[in-house]
Amino acid sequence: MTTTEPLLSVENFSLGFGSKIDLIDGISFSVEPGKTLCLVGESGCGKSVTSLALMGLLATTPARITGGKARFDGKDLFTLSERARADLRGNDIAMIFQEPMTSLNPSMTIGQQIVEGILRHKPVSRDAAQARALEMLGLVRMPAPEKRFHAYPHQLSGGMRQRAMIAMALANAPKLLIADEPTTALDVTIQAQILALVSRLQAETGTAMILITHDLSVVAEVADHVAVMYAGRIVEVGSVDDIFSDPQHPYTLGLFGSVPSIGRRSSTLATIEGSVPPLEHMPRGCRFATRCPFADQRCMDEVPPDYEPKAGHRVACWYAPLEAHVRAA
Amino acid sequence: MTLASQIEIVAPRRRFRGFSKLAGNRGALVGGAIVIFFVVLAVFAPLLATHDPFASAFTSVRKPPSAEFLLGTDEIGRDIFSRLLFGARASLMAGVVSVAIALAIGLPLGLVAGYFGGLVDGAISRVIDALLAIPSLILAIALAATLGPSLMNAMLAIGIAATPIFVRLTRGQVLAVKTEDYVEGARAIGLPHGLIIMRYILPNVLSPVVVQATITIATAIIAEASLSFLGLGQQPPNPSWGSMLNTAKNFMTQAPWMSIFPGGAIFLVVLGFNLLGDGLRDALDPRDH
Repeated sequence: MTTTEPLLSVENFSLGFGSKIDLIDGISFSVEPGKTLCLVGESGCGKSVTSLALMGLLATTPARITGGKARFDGKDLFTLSERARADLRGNDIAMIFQEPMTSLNPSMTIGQQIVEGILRHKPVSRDAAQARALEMLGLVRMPAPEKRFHAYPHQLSGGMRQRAMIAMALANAPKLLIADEPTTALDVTIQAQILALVSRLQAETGTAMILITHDLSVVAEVADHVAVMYAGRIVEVGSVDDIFSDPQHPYTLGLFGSVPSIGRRSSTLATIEGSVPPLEHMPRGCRFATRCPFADQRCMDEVPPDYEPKAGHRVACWYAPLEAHVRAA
Repeated sequence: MTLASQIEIVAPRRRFRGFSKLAGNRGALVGGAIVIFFVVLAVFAPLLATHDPFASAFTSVRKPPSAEFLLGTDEIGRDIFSRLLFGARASLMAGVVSVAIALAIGLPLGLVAGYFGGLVDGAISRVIDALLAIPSLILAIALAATLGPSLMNAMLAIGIAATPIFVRLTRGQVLAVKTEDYVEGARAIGLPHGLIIMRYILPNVLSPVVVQATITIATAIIAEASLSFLGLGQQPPNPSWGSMLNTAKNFMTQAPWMSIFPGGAIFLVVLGFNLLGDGLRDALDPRDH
């Protein structure tokens, strides 16, 4: 990792639903300006709720932050007033949602919705906001932007709606973009187009991005850094090269094993045995211990310390570095 | 997801098929025609009336329908046809104004209760529950009696009595809409609550409210007729269908036309609004293709 001051640095962030055990248990990660961090993990591991917490949108959910800090651009997000947070939302921090089909207001035109977000944050005239919105629709390669500006969401295809969402999110040139599985609801060719678009816009605007996904092919394509989450903890974090060429955590390995690849099939697809235990039965030590092929009693009882195979690559496992143990075995 | 459903999503759909659906609904057409018919009668009452609705004539008391008095005359010789026309004004106005009052109070309360939830919702909903515990006509009679008998007070009373249903309906719709992703999206671009309610929630909860409003106009017309019948609405000598029925009831056997025509008018106009409301419900129902 370079020495650039991170744009966002999350430290020891915990979040719970009011029970004794926190769903998200002390996670830390950082995002540098203009870089992409991919948050990877299976459904329910806390990726989306983390992004909602960063946006300050937890109020509608039963989840509450129970500890930690999130420094964004010199401010601690979790201690800001609701008003200050609303000023950040859509301005410095923007978000793209998973479902383009339902994330746009059916009773407003695409153009109006983008204009609304610009007028909320920038002291510009409605005409200027409209010009900006039109420019954004062009930037996201919306076909016939002048026409789409006056279109209602139901008149657009899924891919076009996601383009509109991206235009809305980037209209105020945010410093950080949080994209919560922006391509899961789209078919594969559109996925590729959208990803290419986001990466290109990111390169042009210097926006940092947190991309939440469970799709490793997406990670390989766009990530600078990767944080692998399991059951509310980050088990491994590092540059995309570190994670792909030298995965250390057994869960990360398991994830790679479960991706089908094109070519001669050598064996059945690897799976990670079992399922995530419910929160109240979570082991006290490593949360992956119940499913890990290497786990012993120590893994069950004691939280593993962070091991750093190299600068910027952290893994939370008693058995790291893994190869030492694999060879020994 | 099947291929067919994807194709449907990709193909741009027509913006609003409500009007064509409404036009294809026979009930709604008949209802709409009846409503328009009465609106025209009310608006052009001065032109259409054959007599002065207030002019009494002792020479023509309780005359049956004839070429001169199309629908007969009443107990002091006033032309029933002309009084019906002017009475339509009172009835339609009572229906529309009282529903407007109910909407003006009920819609904002429902929006606020549904959107903010918690204590705000608790307070509003308890008051509404309490109002709902009282039958609305009894409530309207009590209010009209307290405020004093006049058409305006009757409309106010009917409006207040009809408010709870709009609060409930709106609140329920808001509860469903506020969990939609686009509302979350509006928060994610930092929009304030007021703007979210006005631009993102309100337009998307309006359809069932419009249907309810149409049907409530019919109820309100009956309520106004009831109050006028009881002497709590339109005051004599101003004509109103309800007060016409009130005097007519004394001459049921001698002069049945005095009660048949105002009663028939109430029946028709209520039927019209109900048919129109049902048609609107079908046309605006998103589940129905």
